[in-house]
Amino acid sequence: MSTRLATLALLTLVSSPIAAMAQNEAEPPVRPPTVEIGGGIGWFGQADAGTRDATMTANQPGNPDRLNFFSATGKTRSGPAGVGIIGVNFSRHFGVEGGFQYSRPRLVIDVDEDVEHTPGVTIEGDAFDQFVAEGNFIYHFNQARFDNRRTVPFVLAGVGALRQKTDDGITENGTIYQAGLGFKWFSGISSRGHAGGPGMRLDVRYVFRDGGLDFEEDARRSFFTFTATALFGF
Amino acid sequence: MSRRSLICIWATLLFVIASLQTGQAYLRQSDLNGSQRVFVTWANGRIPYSVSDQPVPGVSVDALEAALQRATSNWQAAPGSTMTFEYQGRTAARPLVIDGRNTIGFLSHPELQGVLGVTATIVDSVTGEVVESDMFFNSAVDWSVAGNGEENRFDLESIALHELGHMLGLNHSALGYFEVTAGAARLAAAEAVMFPFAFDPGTIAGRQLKADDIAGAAEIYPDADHRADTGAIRAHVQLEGRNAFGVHVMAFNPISGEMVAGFVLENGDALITGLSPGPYLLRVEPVDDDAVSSYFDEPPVVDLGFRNAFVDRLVNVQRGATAGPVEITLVAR
Repeated sequence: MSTRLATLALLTLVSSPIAAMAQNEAEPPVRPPTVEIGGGIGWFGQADAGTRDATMTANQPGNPDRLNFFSATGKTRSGPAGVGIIGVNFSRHFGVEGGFQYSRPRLVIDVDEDVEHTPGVTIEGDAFDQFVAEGNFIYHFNQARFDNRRTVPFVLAGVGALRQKTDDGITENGTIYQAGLGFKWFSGISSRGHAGGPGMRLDVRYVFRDGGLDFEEDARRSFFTFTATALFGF
Repeated sequence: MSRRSLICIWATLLFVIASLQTGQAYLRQSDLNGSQRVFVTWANGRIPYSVSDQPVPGVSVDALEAALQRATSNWQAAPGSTMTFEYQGRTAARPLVIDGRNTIGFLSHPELQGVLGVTATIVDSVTGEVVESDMFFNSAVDWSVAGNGEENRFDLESIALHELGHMLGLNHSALGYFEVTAGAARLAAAEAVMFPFAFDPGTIAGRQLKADDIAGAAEIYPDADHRADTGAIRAHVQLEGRNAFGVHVMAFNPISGEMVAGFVLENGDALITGLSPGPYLLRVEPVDDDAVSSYFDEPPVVDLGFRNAFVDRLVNVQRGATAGPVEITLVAR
């Protein structure tokens, strides 16, 4: 009896590596975590805020032109941002996420082309609050996983609501449209092929801003953002 | 008028062109009563007026009435203000006769070269209340009441709009720019009906109130929401270690394009009111020394010897609040 048990135990020990080797040759597909939450930091690139000429009504009959008295050209300086994110992946490839970003960009204005040759000046405005609430669709390139399948590249596209508020209570609203790409890394892969646990995400986005603080009406501005987010997937 | 002998008479002229003139600002008509500045205003915002029944070539009394009707409606429609012009009918009286009636009409003054219109106002210099205000258009020049203007004729409605601004209590704005070509100055542009120099004959662009005019009217006759809906900037301006006087301080909102300004008066302070909320940049400059009398009747020392400059900070204007004081130190020329 004891000999039979010992033989069975030995077979089990020997067969286990064989089973594991067979599994490596036909690994179950890895899929992203069902839910991801995370927070991190970002960097907003500098964005144009357009040009507004200070103009006067020209002295001419009919439909008079405008005389440019001087010009003001604005931009929002680049700066850091805080980022929060929660995502739900409903297939191996597709997911949706909602995010929130907060930053304190600064409006800077170059004033020049004064008709009376007043020396130009660069005016630093106060920093203001900038909030973005966004929703994105994400596509994961699972077939391109690397780093023992723990890292997956992805692309995203989405839309967000922009709210900019100065410390004096002035509020400008707008919309952002964005597309980007990046990588997600999760530390663990379950036996059923779910990536999860602590992770990290890096992405870069190209953002179109429609509305918000701008010197020109109906102008769309573009800029880049980078985000680095600590994730937890489960 | 009954209790005081302190009566002052305001006479404000609109020139065709007089001299090189640059700058910005709306300015209220005011008078110094001792050290106290008293601003001209109509009691309860009611401005009754009559029209003199004397026509001139090219302008019937009906046409004058119609032009005044359009111009007064324009002022009354200015956002944020509540003044009311009340037409009292025609009168056989002539302007500039002190009779307790506010008479508007034509007078011929060929000796007043370049003067298109005059508004003369009698004010109680203690309260600032208007006692009487008359206005005349100089019939020595050619006038037009055509919808699109007429070549070589000044647009009566445009000039009436300007003179009515004086009548309600505004002084001149300096939001205009002259260019000098071959030694001759010509008005190139203006952005206030209250600029003291008129557009060329044939031009009707002066029929539209600008932000500077609207802010000025609303400052005198604010409606219930005006002060809560708009903000102001206070600037404190110094030159060579002392408070400056007479400096133009222009506020420009690069988002809306709004351009409103004020003058530095007592204590080196300029207060620019009626601003919609938003960021503003400030520009300071002297009035042209030839044009000081277009803005200041008293003989204070108006500072002219400094350089134009933009203030190197942005000023955020909040609803119902006054931003500043923004400290500005001028650089002497």
